[in-house]
Amino acid sequence: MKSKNLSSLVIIDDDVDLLELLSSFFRQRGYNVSSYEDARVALTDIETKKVAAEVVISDLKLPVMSGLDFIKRIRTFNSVMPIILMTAEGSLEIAVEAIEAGAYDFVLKPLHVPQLLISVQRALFLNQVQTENSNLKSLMSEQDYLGLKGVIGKSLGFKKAMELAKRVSSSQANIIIFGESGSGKEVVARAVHELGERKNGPFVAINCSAIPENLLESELFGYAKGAFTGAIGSKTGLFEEANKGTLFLDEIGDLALPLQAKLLRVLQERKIKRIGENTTRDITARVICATHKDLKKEVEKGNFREDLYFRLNVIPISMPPLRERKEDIIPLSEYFLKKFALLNNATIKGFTKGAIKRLESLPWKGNVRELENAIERAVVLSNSEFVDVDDLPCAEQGPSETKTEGGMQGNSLFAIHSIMTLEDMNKKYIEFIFKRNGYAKEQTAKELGIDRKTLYRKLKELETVEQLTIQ
Amino acid sequence: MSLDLPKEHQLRYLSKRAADIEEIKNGVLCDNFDAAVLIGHRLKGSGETFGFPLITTYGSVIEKAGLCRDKEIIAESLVALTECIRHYLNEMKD
Repeated sequence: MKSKNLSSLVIIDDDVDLLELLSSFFRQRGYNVSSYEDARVALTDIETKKVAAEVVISDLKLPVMSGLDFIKRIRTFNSVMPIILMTAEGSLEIAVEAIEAGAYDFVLKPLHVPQLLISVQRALFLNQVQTENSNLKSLMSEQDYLGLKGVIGKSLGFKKAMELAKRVSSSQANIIIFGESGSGKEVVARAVHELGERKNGPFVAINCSAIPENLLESELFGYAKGAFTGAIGSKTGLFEEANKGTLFLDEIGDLALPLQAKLLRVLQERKIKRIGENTTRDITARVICATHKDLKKEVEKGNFREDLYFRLNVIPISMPPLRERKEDIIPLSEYFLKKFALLNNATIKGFTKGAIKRLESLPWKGNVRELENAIERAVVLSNSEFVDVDDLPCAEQGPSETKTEGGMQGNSLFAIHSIMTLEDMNKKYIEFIFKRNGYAKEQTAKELGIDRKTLYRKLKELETVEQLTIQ
Repeated sequence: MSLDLPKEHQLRYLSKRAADIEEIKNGVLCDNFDAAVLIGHRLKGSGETFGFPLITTYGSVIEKAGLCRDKEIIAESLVALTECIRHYLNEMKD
């Protein structure tokens, strides 16, 4: 649940009766109201942030400082705060002058208070949209390490990797990035792309382990019409799509041997042939590879071509795992907190001391990706303005509830690495969802996309009812 | 959605008007029309908001008369306003 604040209103009117009436009306509707008889006092309090003001309602005719003068003064330091002017003078000239001075709306006295409420609600919505827009703009324009957006870290290992990325960005040499899953290999690849001459070209990324071998070949090289059954049209491959840019081949260590040979040829000749075509096409894309595997060992085992290894291993860059660069945990956490608070429209300001301690002590086996998911979860679940220890995963939980390399939701179910039958998988999955929902059948059925009867039958079929009830 | 003003709010509003009438009267007696303009303006803006449209009407008349320094109309309006407030109070007691 997101922490929700009362909307803050400032009301200014020298008519004490009206001021009392409006304050009471809006307070009863859950607004946080600050009321003033003098516009100068209100101005000072708003400027010094003594009061929160999302919307201001002000009378036009006020002693000492008029409503119009008040708007003009406010606009010197706040250009967006909606101000609604009230007046008993119903002339068009005054209305135009007020709007020109920056009033959001103009309401006539005697007031129709419900109409004023609608105006306030609309002004609040405008204020919210403007604030979100400005926050998003500032987040988007934030320049982090090496002037790159979202590249965050201050540890020696991180800096070393990024400095190397910067140095090699202007060269044409092949680069291979080593690092555990989720450690930020793609961030390094993007940095090489952004810092080099190809930054205006496309950055095309593909995970070689996520696509079956035959599909991967057509993805990378493209195909001609009629090249195989189902090839009803021609297709441009990723090598071509990345022309004048960068092609990032992630998890290259999982590439099948026949494709390794083809990749080697492309890297040597800088030419490709689409499947089913005889003509060659020139390739201008820079190829950056990455893997979490020890390629040298893979070569020894015969899983990886030695010639390709040497071709790729011109400039190796290592991205250390998050547990070896603990200084990066908090800056990264703060960045993700800001990002997800914005996306979830939550007013979370930071972490409690306990939460910081927990963040620094967790092993983060899933690296930055796991941290990112943990912060997203904390932002969504947090009830207060600060993320607390309880909102974060426990040390024993390890990388639970995080995404794995293939993008699947990680948990005890998917942590099973051994091959199981479809029936077993089905059983485990139903059991998992049932447990996660506290054995609530309705919620479980809803999540599984089946009705309660079907769920009950399945539980019975899988002989899990008794077992789960006992548990 | 109606405003549904609490009765106490309305009664308090009406009871405070006697002081307004007195202030305007005292000002006019000394040829000072500022109170008539200011209070007349306020009554114009607040009367109907509190559920008393006639107070808005008299407030408007008093404000205009104050600007024209018209003692006669102010005096007549104050009598009518006093009568009108009494009427509203009686209505609320019922």
